[in-house]
Amino acid sequence: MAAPAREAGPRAAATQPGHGGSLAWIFQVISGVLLLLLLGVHIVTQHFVVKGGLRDHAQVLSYLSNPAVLAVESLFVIVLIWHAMLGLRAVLLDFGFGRRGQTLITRGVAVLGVATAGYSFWLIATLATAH
Amino acid sequence: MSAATTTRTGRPARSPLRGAAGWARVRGRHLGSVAFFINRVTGLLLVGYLYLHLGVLYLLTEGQGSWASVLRLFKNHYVLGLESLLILFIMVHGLNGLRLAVVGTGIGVRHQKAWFAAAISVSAALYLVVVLAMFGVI
Repeated sequence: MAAPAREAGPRAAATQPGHGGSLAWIFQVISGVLLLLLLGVHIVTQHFVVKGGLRDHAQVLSYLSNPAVLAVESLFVIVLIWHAMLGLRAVLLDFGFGRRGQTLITRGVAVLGVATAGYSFWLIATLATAH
Repeated sequence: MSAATTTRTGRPARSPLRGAAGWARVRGRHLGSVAFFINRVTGLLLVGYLYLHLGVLYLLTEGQGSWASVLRLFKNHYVLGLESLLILFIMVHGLNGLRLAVVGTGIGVRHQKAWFAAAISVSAALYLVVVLAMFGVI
């Protein structure tokens, strides 16, 4: 065996210097559980209840003009990007960079997350106000 | 994962690439490491899909004609097949992720093989239902 079989967890994360500690792991779990619910809602409402599996242009605009839908989709975007960026950071940290590299990764991933969220909210706002 | 940044002898990996290769080496590994590797790979694929999806959604801002071309493309059976794989990756990543979270807190560690089998079985069953629905069989 190449190395002891271990899995990520709060205790493991806390013992790994520079890996963000157990707090990042806890946020990853919370956002993951939330995502299962929000992604389920997103897939069912956007694809499964629609004839043909996809809404046409008018249907998308009408759907997003509903404030409740807008709130759920916005929450979904925040949680999804949060979870994706934490995951990406964890993968990049596994490359074993030094402390400076780890800081750069954390900052780079944060910038990418903010840019992705900015674009996503611009997209949502544009479509929600186009109806 | 600390194993990823150390060599067989426990020394630090000689290069960052070797450190990352640690979790990518699955031969001879315990089930927990294989499951961890599966979650990493499906997670990276899903991050890639997120940006593809956001790019496609931009076409909604271009008007009805652009979106109609997307709808036509997504009726293609090959594209539907790829979309169904996305559902599979989401299910495996989600359910295996739940298992990782539970085991990571120290709960049910002894039964992690059963947890993994359950996560994969449920994913496979749901995937089958989704594929049949996507292709209009049910």
